[in-house]
Amino acid sequence: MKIPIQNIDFRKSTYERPNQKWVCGWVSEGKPCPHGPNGKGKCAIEDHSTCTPYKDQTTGRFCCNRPTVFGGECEEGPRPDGSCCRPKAVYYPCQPRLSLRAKRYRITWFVFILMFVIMTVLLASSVKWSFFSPGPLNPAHAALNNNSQLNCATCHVAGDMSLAQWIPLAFKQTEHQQETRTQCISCHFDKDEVTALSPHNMTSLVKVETDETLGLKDASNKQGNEVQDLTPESNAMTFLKASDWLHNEPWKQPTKMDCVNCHKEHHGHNSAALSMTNLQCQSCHTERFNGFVDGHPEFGGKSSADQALLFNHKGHKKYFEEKQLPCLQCHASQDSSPKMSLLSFEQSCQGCHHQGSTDHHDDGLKKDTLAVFDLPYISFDDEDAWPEYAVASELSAVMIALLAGHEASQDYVHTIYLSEDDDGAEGDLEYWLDEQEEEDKLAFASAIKDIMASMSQPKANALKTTQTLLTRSMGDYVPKSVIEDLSETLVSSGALLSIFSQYVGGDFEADINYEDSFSGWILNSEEFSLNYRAILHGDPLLASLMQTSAFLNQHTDDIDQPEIIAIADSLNDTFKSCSACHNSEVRAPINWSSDTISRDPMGFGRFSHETHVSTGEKLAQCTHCHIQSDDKNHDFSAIEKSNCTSCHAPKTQLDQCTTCHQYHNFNFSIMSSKVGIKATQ
Amino acid sequence: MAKSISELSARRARLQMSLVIAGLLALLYFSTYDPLLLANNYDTGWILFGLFVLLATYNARKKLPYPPLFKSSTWLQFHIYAGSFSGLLFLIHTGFSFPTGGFDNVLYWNVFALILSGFVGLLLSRTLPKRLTDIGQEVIYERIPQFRLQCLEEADQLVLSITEQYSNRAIQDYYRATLRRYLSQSPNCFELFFSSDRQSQVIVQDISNLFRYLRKEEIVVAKQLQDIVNLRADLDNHYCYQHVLKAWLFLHIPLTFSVLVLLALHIVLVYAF
Repeated sequence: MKIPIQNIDFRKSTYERPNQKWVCGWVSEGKPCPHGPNGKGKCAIEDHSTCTPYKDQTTGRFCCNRPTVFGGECEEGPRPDGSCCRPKAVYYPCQPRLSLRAKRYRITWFVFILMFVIMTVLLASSVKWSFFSPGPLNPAHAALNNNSQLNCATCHVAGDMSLAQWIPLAFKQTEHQQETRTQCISCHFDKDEVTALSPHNMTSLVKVETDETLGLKDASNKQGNEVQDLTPESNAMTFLKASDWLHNEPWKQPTKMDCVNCHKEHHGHNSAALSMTNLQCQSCHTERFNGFVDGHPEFGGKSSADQALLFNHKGHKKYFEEKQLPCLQCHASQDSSPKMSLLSFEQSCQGCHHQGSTDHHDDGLKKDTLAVFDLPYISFDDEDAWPEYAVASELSAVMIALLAGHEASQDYVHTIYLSEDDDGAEGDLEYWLDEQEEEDKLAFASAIKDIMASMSQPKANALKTTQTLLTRSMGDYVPKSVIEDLSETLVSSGALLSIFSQYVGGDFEADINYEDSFSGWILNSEEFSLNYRAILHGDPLLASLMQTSAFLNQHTDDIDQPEIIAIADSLNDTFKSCSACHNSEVRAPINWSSDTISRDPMGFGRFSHETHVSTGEKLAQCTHCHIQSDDKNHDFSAIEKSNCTSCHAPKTQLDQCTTCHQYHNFNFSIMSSKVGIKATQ
Repeated sequence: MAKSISELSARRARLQMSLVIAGLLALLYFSTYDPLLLANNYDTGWILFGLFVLLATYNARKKLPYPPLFKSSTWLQFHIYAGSFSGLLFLIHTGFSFPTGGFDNVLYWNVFALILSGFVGLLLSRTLPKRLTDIGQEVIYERIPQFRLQCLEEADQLVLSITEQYSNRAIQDYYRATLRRYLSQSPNCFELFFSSDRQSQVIVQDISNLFRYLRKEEIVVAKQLQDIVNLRADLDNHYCYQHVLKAWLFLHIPLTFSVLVLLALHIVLVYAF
């Protein structure tokens, strides 16, 4: 049988006030007084009678007011003075206690204030930066900390401020984010901010030019905005389209790619600062596809003209087969470089094209010398005015360049190559000299003597004069660095140039032929010239002259000075055999090594031969991917995508765009070296 | 009555379904930021902050009888479902990953504890009332100590009444050794909450075992003592369940205000840095 616990009748049940702040101290003992403590937490038992009589206004008598739960109206009634007739209730005074609700209220405030105080103390303490830092920096940025101490001010304006200054700063978020962005750019870019923050670090101007290749969406470029699905639309593509629609196609806004859009910092020592998904890459591109296997365009072929070194693989094939030379005889992979490098001439070509009595330039350079300084035949009335053995019928390229830069002779040189002889041939020196007055011939000869005399001065002076003359003549077309290199190699003839100069000045009558086998300079008194014979492959003088030739070739359409065109023609003719491999007609400067040429001109590709070759025997065979082509313009067929798909399969880590492509078209570490940061990409 | 319960169930099902749909939509919507390299942290952060402030005002609403801004039960429904939604939003905001910074960790685990305590409270408020109903009687929490004392006093009276009449001391011995200690001690809420009222059942069984030694009149008293033990067990259950229903708020509400302090600082940090 269940005993009823509680009488719910309001006449027999006291009224509980759990919302009040204080409760009777006897509650826990099960004997609370019916009155409870007062509002201030004091026991009010002594103040209470059983009831508080009230005065009936109609009768003017006091009436009993005892609550029903205490027995109701008593028979005796109140005293005449209005006080209760019954004795005061016998209760022991108590120490009132907080109600449950009041305790909760106090704890809440305690926690609130405690948290506030803790945060304030932390903000004022020395651990402020480490505690409020959102996390350790990426290893690449660890050097930003000063001796392992956090140095937030390196990137953040608020980094050396207090909380009081943070609050107003929080309302200027755009301004200080700009400052942070500038800090990123100052370390990582050598370009202006517009370029740095443009998609793929390309300004809109450049982007329009490369739009066909990149297929970037751009509101400013009307032609590149048509999205083309290269594969049937997948769920991912639908999701991407929905994202575009929901966010109002954000690429239509003024395109500024903030660094933090991709590079998330403060995610710990082991976190990657960058993780791009395929969808993120495709969100800006007009050509969309599901993955490398499903939709990625085939690779294009490379023209031979795009190569740094023009090498005819087809022509050499029979020799490779005869001598059983593998590809790695000439090519090698490098740990630090994603490209396959070409070994040096000495390591690769010289085995066959040895430079003994003959050389690889059809014996031309080894057998024949290059006339660098030569003297034209000029007849004077006075026989002592000009060396009688000067017999050259035309000027060397170097002599034209030097004379074109000399104030006294530049007009003569100009007219020489502007004039035509009786047969209509331009630049006939003999014809021009015959037509000149004695006075002009003397001035022309004295200019040659002056140049030679200047160049035979001590090296520093000679170098300065040579640079000045060459800069005057070719400075508009050839970079300063190339002219400096050329000048350096020209004055390296030293003593022989001095002797030659004395010949020219008529101070030296001895008939001397001298070949300096160490420097390559040859003094030929019979032909009255200072010639040069290349010592080894990669000769510095020939290299400087070829670079000059390459830069002049780049400006063929701009050059309106016939003497400069004559220089270019002369050099092209001289280096015809060199150009068979070193392409000086297509680009300047010439890439002497294939390592320096980018097969990916915009710099978005990323490929490591080393990694691929080491994956297995199949890929170790170069011919697995590089198949010789029958096309006369291409040594090799375009690499087929099917070679890659077995590893770069869908839903694998290798199916990511970023496996083979990078966002920035420059080498991060180069920029980082500016501030001594060893960056990892 | 049956109809109103079915309506309540239908309403709950509708609201739960709405919550699931809203959660999925939010998950889908905020995941559309990522492919476009947009950050959803600012949007989710402000929504989350607004929700927290709104949820915190429920406590204030309970204290304000005026103005009559919807019924408290409506606020509670909103509090439950908006709180659950904010849990999902919190995970989206944090990118479903743990923070690495000191302050971020404090904030993260505070919010986590707040949301978790909310769910625990929801679970308790959905399960304990059923247990209370199963007891069969309603008791005001604040009066339980008084009833406990009444039980003890009644038991004392019963034992005294038979002591004066009979010389058999089986009941008295058992009462003095075991029963009185049980009736005068505070309840062990942990044991009651996670196991059962096993102790009272053992005592009831012990008293039954004494029947063979008792006279008929004494058995009547012994049975009355058993009723008192059962009553005390009901009181203890009431006390524990009601205490737990009130105690979880000691965690939930202070955490709310702690989170509000941390959130204010978090916003300043985010915008200043």
